[in-house]
Amino acid sequence: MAFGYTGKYAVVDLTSGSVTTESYDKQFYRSYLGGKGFVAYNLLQQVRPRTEALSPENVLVFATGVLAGTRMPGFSRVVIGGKSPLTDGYCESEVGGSWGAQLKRAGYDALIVRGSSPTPVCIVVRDENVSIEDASELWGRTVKGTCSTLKSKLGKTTSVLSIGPAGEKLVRFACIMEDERDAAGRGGLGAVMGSKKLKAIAVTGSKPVAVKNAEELNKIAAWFAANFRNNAPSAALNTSGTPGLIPGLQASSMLPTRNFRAMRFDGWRELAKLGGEWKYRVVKEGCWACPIRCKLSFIVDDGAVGGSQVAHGPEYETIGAFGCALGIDDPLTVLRANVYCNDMGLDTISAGMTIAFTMDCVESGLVQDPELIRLGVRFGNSAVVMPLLEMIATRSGIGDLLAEGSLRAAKAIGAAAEKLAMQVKGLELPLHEPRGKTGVGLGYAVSDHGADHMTAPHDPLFSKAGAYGLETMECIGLDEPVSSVSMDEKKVRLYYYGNMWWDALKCLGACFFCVVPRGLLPVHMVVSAVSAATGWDFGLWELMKAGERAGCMARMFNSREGPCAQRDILPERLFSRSENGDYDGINRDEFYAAVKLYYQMRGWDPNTGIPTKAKLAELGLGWLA
Amino acid sequence: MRVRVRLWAGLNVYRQDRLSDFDLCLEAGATVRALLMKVNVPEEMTAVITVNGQKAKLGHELSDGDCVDVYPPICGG
Repeated sequence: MAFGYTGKYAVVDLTSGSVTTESYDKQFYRSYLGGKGFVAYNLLQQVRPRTEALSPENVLVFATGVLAGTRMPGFSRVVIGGKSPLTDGYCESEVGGSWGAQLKRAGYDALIVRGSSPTPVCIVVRDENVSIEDASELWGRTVKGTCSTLKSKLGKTTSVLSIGPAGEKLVRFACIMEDERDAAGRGGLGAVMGSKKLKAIAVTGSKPVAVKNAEELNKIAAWFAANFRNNAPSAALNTSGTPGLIPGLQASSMLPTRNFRAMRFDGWRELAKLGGEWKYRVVKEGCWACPIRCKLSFIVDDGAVGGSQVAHGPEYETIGAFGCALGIDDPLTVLRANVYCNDMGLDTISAGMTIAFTMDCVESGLVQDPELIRLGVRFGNSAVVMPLLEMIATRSGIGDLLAEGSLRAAKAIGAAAEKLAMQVKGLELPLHEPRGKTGVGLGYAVSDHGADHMTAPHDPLFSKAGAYGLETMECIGLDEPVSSVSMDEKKVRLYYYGNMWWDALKCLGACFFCVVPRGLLPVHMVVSAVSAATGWDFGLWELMKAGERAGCMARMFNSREGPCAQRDILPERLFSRSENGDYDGINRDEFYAAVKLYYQMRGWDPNTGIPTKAKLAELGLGWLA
Repeated sequence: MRVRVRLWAGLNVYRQDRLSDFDLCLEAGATVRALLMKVNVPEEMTAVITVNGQKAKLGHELSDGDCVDVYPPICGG
């Protein structure tokens, strides 16, 4: 490949200890683009149906997009995929920082890891040199300890993906951390790394990415830098990061509270302090080439999180999961939980929501575990958060059951508990309320990797004439207001097109915060940037089709594992009115009719939810028929 | 009359002074819609408006001392 891509993958087999390089032709790159496209393609090719997620036969794919490592802001995320030990299905999870950019600059578009090692190892990539090295001394260490050891050995500019002790202990929602702050959080891919005895992947890349038209790319990047402060969503992220969502969600009655029992939380003002207006000084950080710098850290100089240090601030999802979802209004508890999860390598959403499930079970009288009673587990009791997290991360006591995730724990407790597990396909719900934005609910249900809030832009962006979503997405046919709480054919179309757009962006390794309708960069500039990087005569049609193709491949992966449509469901609680009556429950009949219509719009069988042969052929996926 | 205005989640980009929390003088009986025009925030960029913590419509008449919070649509992240 001449421009944009390196044209190469590194393939590491931990069983044989071999490292090889594979290359693909231009047609392959134009079909699958990168990111999610590469992940889904390689999982279908390399993971046999019904492979056990924590066995050596599972495969991990780390894939960048065509703009990774360039000056383009927000296009250097790495998409990580494998079979999930939490959902037993297709899993993708993305992370920012600079690891993706470094991999590209080392000379690889993607890295694939197969097999498993008998002893702990790490993979070290120094430009094109890829080696498997002993990591015995790193095993058992926290993420922070691992990063600091590897960086002192390999240099400060090295980027590290690693797991903490939770991944080693095979906690089913263990995450993969990028350096010490960012997480590829969802689906338990940290446990997959743990099962392979792979502690970390350190990458140092020094070669600039060759692009066809650097002037055009630089022009787009400069335009972004000059304008993001005039764009409301970007300016908000620049000021307060994602914690800045809290006041608006509370005002809209969409702040999931006490395991989604209620939609407003009285303690929201305390939690909103994590947006920066707190007693601790704030430092802002960001990802590769991005001027927004939406990551907040706090200088905690009173020892409140264990010694004077920079404490990486929680994102909104984490604040929701350890704050309102638990009925807890103490920002310090949330900050401590975030720091601990990052260090142990736990997904904060699944960890918080599994604790919410536990509190709900205790309050509902479904669990009489003496350990939980002694701890005083109940909504609002902040004192139980850290002990429970420690038990989960180390799989001690009842933590061993909770480390299996809320669905497996519920099955062990009994049928009544299953109704309290707020999950889809085993993945715990993020902190967005489908009763107030039904498209998010549709997304939770039909997403192939389980309940994810980032599969399509959310409904309120499209709910009134002239709204930012409609203004910026008119070019893909979203030009008509759709009520946030409807569940009709317009809503299904909105979700379908929005999902295709976001899957297309996942193929580019893009951050949704940088691109419309959640950020600044307009659709035509995204297309221009790909053309500028590759020199291709590239268009929006091709980009959207790549998104649709990637989504279709993810569905085909799951179709090999068992029935699909039966897993496209929502937790029972969402079909009833919320506790304080802000919104009605989702209408069950309308919802399942919408799911069926969604399948049909996509060219999937309306009963099985599996892509038809005709759709596979249309997308050039005949090899999957 | 004087009201307090708070523009949340980036809505202050529509103001030249970029203030997000300020006092504003309005004619007696001015509505929320009039307030939005005066502070230069486009109606279509707002999702929820509250007056003294209660959701309010664009035609709501304001009173002296009111506190008006203006929120844009909130998406995920």
